[in-house]
Amino acid sequence: MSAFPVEVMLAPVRQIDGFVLACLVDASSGMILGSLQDQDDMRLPVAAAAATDVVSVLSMMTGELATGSDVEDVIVTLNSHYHLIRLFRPGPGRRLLLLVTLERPQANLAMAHREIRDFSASLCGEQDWVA
Amino acid sequence: MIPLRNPVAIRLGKLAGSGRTGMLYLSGECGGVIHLFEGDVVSADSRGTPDLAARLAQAVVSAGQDMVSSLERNWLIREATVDAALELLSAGTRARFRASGDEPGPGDRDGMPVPVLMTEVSRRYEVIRQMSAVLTPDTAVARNPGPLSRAIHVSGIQWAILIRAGNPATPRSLALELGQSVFTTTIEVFRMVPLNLLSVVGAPALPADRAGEFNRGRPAISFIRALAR
Repeated sequence: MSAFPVEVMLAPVRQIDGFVLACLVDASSGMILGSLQDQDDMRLPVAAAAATDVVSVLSMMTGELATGSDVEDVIVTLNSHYHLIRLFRPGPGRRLLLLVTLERPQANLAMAHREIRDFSASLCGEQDWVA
Repeated sequence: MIPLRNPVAIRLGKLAGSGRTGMLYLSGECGGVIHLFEGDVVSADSRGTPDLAARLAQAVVSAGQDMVSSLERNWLIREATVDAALELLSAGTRARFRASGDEPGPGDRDGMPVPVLMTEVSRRYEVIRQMSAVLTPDTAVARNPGPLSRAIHVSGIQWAILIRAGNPATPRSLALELGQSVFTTTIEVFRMVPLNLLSVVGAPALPADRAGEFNRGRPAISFIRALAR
């Protein structure tokens, strides 16, 4: 359902060391816009729904704290995996979240965090514009 | 879950299975049309949700320029389709199919497989059910007149809802006015009630110092719980 498939957009994320899955999710509705997954043993819809719930709770927190700050990203460390959640805005009023799951033994968390940050910035700044 | 014996869902499944191209017209107050191309859903429109043109126009206005990114356009098309499909499938009205040889609907894009659409619609149906103890897309809400007991940072969409909820409005009427998804607008309105920013019409607004009592015994929205088991 796109002239520019979201899966093609996500392809660079696959190069991150320890890559397991990535998905782009509408933070408001929880709808998955596109995904990539190397291993089928992790239920992607569950991961996407959980990431949306996490962002929702943290947004409530920032709203109640009323400091003017907003969530940029969330890192969840489990025994076997990292889940990195990055929020970005492709347009005014739109909030998307990028979830990337990495195998912890293979991943470099600092590098992955930076690569995901740069990648999400590229999604906002370098796209094919359509009228 | 959307009931499997829902006549519209059954009809849609059969059309998808046979790879049909055409338009499935649905009657009723929130009726509309689902466009199919070779068994996949290309788009859907409902009288109860903003159409794609309205959403694109709003996006262009919000962006302050005469075009939107391909990512945003992709999102808008998919959201408009699923938003409308939820209305059409929930109503379960009578359906009439008109076959055509050409791809219906505007643009040149891939369709959404019906099973994928049904999974997403069912997920949203469960979220709506979670909220239904408090409100639905057609529940009247109004802005609370009293001052807040504390400062709150509201999002852009929450602010847009607040300034339009002076007279009683429903999440659906607000969504149509804003050119936004009925589903996500209903979620935002639901979240604004315990913040004491909005009240359900007919239900007494809690005093500011008792706003926290709203949540006692009432679960918050959980997208994980909305997934089909």
